[in-house]
Amino acid sequence: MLGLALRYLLARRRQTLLMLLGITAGTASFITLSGLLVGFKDYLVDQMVNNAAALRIEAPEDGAALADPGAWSRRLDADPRVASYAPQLEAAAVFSRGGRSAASGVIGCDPRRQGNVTTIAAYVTEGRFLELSAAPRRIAIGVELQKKLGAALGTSMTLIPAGGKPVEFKVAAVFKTGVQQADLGAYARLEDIQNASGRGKDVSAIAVRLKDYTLASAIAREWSAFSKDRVRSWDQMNANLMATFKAEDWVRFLAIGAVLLVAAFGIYNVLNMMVVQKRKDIAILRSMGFGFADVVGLFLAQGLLLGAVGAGLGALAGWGAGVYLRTVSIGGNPMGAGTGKLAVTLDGAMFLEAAGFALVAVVAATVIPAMAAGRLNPIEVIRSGAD
Amino acid sequence: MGIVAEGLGKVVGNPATRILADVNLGIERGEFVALTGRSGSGKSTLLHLLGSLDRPSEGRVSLDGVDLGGLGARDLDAYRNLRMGFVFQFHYLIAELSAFENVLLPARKSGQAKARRARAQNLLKQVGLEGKEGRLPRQLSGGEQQRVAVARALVMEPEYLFADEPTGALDSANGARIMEILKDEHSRRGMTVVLATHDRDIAHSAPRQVRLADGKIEGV
Repeated sequence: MLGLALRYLLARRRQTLLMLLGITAGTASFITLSGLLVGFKDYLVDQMVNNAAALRIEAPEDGAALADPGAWSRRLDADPRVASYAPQLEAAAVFSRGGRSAASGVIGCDPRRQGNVTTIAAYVTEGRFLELSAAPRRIAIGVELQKKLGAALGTSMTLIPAGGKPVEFKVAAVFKTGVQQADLGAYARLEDIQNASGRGKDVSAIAVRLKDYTLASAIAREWSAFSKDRVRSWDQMNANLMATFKAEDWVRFLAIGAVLLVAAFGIYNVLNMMVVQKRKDIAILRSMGFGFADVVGLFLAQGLLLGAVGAGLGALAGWGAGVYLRTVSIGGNPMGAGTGKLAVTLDGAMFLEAAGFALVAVVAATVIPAMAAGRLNPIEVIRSGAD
Repeated sequence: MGIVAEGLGKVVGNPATRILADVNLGIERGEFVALTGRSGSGKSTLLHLLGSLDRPSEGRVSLDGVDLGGLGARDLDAYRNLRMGFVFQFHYLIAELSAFENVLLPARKSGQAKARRARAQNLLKQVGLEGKEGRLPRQLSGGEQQRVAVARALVMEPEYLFADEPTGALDSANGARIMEILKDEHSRRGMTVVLATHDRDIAHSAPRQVRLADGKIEGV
């Protein structure tokens, strides 16, 4: 019946082409839209996980120090799920240089450990992040802070931590993450910030990198159970954004559902018409011994052929559109993933989802006409040409 | 044993209209029978009931002792595919398939397409369509189309052939040719032929005639 189904489709080239266009457009839209939305989501997740670490261990109260950072270090060293960690002291600070000033935050850290936990070193556009370790009182500043202060690489600036004393730092690196808030901040050695803010050996947080960041929530719950310190995973820290992603997924599926629904209605109408036009064929097939299932199969096969070819072409078109969009320059905004280009994710699951949606829509649109064809009483058709 | 119809009746529509009443008829294997009568006499309905294309409202039809009414849809499909052939007044060829593909279609149902290719080829030659096997139905004349339909009905070498006004839409020359083909297959293979026709000449060419009027058998 597959051969006959193919002949039916080829005999109605224009209708077949229109039906194929509908499915192709639906599938391609799904992949393109998904690629963009998932690409954006992946970029933001990457930012959340890698800029601020997968897990953060913080003192129970804001601005306070961890009670026993040494105990945490021993636990983290012993846990095989932990890839790396970096103790930090975060402080609010005023930065000033030559009459200009800006209020922001500074993170005191071990530059080497920090580089292992977050991707901050990769965002350095001038100088080197590890230069912070080369000598005391070196600082890495975000590009937005640099603009406010007009501080070039190698120049000096004054940092006044909250509750601390003014200390002169030399700009050793400039970084640009693409996130404005992060690019207003700064990094320096842990000891320098501890000294400047007069907080001895205080550590306010430990940033932790996990071997598998998707385990972050579970591990956060596990560690919270035996400590008074706050342990928060990257997705808990960004709960609002995660809820937005879920809403975004719904938008994606609804938008594509609408496109495929239109395509499915087109197929339903054409196949319904075809069943009426092919009443005589159905009658003669039944008289030859072709049964209900054969006739239903004849029309379902047409739907499946359309679905398979349409989904295949749509996948190809969607992939092409995704690859093209990756080359579109958008001037380095957050969707640009620091490259200035659109972040588009194209993964296998997305293609399978799109093809699955298209096939389900097509089969659903085909079932009713196919069943009607199968139920057709051949004798009614034959009698219309006899007494 | 052949075909036996007992107390056969058919009522259709709403309000109910009786188109066949209390028909009792036996047709031996290998017989050539013409069902005759005027338009509306019920001959086509009787032929469809005998060929299991339709279900009777009353009575029963048995084929070689098997009550067709007791068979399920699948068994009936298999009977029609392997043991019966049908020719109608209109050819009902599938427009998208060539003459050869149309003839071979019943064999596809039972997975015998390969085995029946030579038979299909021979039949087309026999009905005078050699060299036109690849043509689509629209590229053939009315007579040629009906000859393709006859070849299609014969490709599975059916034991029973049911023909409903097979020459009704043809001129006399083409009609005679169709009858020759049916008679030839009947005499060579002993195929049982049941033919419904209102054409007297065609009816007279059958060894046995069953006359119907107002849904009843009027004479044999």
